[in-house]
Amino acid sequence: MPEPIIIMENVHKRFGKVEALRGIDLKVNEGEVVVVVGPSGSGKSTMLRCINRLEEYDEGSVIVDGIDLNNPHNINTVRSEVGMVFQGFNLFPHLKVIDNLTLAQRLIRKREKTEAYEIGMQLLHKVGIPEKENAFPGQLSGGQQQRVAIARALAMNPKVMLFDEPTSALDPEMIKEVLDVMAQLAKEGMTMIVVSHEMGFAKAAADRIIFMDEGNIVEENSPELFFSAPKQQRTKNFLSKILQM
Amino acid sequence: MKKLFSFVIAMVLFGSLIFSACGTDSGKIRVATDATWAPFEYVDTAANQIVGFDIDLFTEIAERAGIEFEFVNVEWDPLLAGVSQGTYDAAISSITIKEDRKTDMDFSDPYFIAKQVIVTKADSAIAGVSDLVGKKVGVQSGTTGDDEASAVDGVNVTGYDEIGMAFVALRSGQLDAVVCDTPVASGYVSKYSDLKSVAEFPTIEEYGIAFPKGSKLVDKINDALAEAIADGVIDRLVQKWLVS
Amino acid sequence: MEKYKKDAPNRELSFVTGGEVNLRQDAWWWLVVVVAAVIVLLVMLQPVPFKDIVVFAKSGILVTIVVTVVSYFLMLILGLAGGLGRLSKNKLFFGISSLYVEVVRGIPLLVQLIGWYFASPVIIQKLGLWLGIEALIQYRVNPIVTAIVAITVCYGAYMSEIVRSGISSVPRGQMEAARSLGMSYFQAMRYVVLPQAFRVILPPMGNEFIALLKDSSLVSVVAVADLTRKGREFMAAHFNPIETWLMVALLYLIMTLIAARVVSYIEKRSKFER
Repeated sequence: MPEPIIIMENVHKRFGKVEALRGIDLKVNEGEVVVVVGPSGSGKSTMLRCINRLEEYDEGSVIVDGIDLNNPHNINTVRSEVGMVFQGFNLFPHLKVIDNLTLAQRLIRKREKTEAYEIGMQLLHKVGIPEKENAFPGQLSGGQQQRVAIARALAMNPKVMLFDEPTSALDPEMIKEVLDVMAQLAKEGMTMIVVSHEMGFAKAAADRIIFMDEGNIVEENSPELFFSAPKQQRTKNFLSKILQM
Repeated sequence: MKKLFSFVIAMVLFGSLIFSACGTDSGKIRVATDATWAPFEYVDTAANQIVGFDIDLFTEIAERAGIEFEFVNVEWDPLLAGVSQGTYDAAISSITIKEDRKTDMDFSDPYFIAKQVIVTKADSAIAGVSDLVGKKVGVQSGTTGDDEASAVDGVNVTGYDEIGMAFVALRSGQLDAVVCDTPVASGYVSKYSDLKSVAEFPTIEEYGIAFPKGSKLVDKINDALAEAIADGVIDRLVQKWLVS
Repeated sequence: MEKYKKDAPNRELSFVTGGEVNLRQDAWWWLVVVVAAVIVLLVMLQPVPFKDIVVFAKSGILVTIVVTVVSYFLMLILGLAGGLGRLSKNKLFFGISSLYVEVVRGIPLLVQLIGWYFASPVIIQKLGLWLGIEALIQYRVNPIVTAIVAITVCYGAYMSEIVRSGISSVPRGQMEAARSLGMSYFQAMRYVVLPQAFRVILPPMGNEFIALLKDSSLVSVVAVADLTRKGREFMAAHFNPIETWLMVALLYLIMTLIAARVVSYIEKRSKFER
């Protein structure tokens, strides 16, 4: 059994006096799709952002693809292997869509203009909007922007993709197009960690669901078992609130 | 944008080349003067040359002393500071020999005796120094005119950066009188018929050439100056520049 | 990658592009024309003294322009460094740049100019004596270099704050997205944050240029033969303060008006640029 691609051990994170993460232990294997759920303030996003060190943790260790994140020299290397998709898309508004996709490729992967361009176009096709190559992000709908954001992260050929509430800022009619792209990605075997409230996606695509509350991982299970037979009381409370939709 | 950037770099390099060249040593001594004080030192704007009483005088002296020199035209305050710091080898600029100045610089023997004069509008009733009491008097800040006017009790003195501005104020009625060096006053009085010279202050002042303290030029210059005076140079220059 | 022309430009401005903008532009250029006309009329109708003033002041105009332009671009660099320092998490950089900004902003430019011109040679010479370095003892102040340094240092402090606020206005998510792709801090700044900050910084940058142009007249106090000094020389030789200063004022005015038009043009262009 190969080493898990992500190993988090006893990770603690404090914001001032508030403890956001109280000793997180997590192992994610290559090709796994993990969905993280929980109430707001539970530390889901914080934990996710520790994996590419957008948040600095105070204690513990995070090892991604064998690279130890405790060593600051490794940060940029890890970040180019770990792609991130943000709730607010964060596309570069001053660059065209295609330039959004090629910028990091040329700077960090040192690819030639033409190669980066081709890879960028391939990915635009993959997420379904090749015709938007020369548009500016401001001219796209939310769903389109998020799909471009996914393509941008994929352009770096990452080993792991992190999704921080990717559909929470979208109008309902655009959620599906983004989830479809993510589901396709999961099918192709990408290692994904997704913080989301989209239970439908979790049921359909996740290998494992993790429930976090108040900085702890309270429960984790396969989707079927998680929804049908939650073990902890807190999990049950949470599910009863969510599934009332 | 790249073109703009390279243009700017070129400009900066070009500018620094030009201006660093200004500092190169040509072996001549540098004589500072503030060429804004006609008729002693001012710029002949048509010929773009510094001319005046002091200019001619120093040229004569340097010739007799066998010194090569060049004039440097600088503002009054940097001029004095520059002499005391040794930036300039000498300065001739209607500089009055004053005791408090002697702590920072050496002076040649005096070469001219100047007086401060009161200038008023042509119809003014002011006839002498005592009439200035209670009146508004304009001067150029930091000059002996300033000192003299301020020394009179009860006079309302306004200092101006330049004496020209004081004359503007006088002509427009904001001042009752202006006090400044006689030669400069004559220039304005002869140009504007609504002004007149009234009376001179009794105290006199002497102009001298200034040097950094301990300068070796002082003796040479003094010798040449004495020669020039004996040759009647001063009288000749007074005729040329001061008798209108 | 084709340049697009027909696509709608940056969406925030699509309602502004059109006749409205052009009208405003025309009005400003009229002002430049009027001032230029006044200058030309004065020179032609009363060449003595107006033409003489212009001819005599030519070299001063050049000096004013060079001092302004060189100081401006140097202070941009200093301002960028200062602005980044003010945003730095590193205590040393933050401390130095904050100290710099606070001290320099608290002293008038004229005082700083005078300080640099009169005090720095004394300090350098004393330093030379203390260290025994001949070159320092012989240091003679170069007026133009000193003036440019003084202006650069002074305006650099204000520029630092402008840069800082411009960079702060760019959403944090931009830096995060860039870093999450693996870009270094400097790459993220150069390609993602600064280009966006630039649009916010540009208008105040333009203002600073115009302010600098006018403040450059102060260098006449420290032995630099700029336009103001030339005016003073002319006036002293001809005893005509009013005419001289009128023409000098008009010359400054036309320079600042033209500079303002250039700034305005660059601002507009940058909104549609990549």
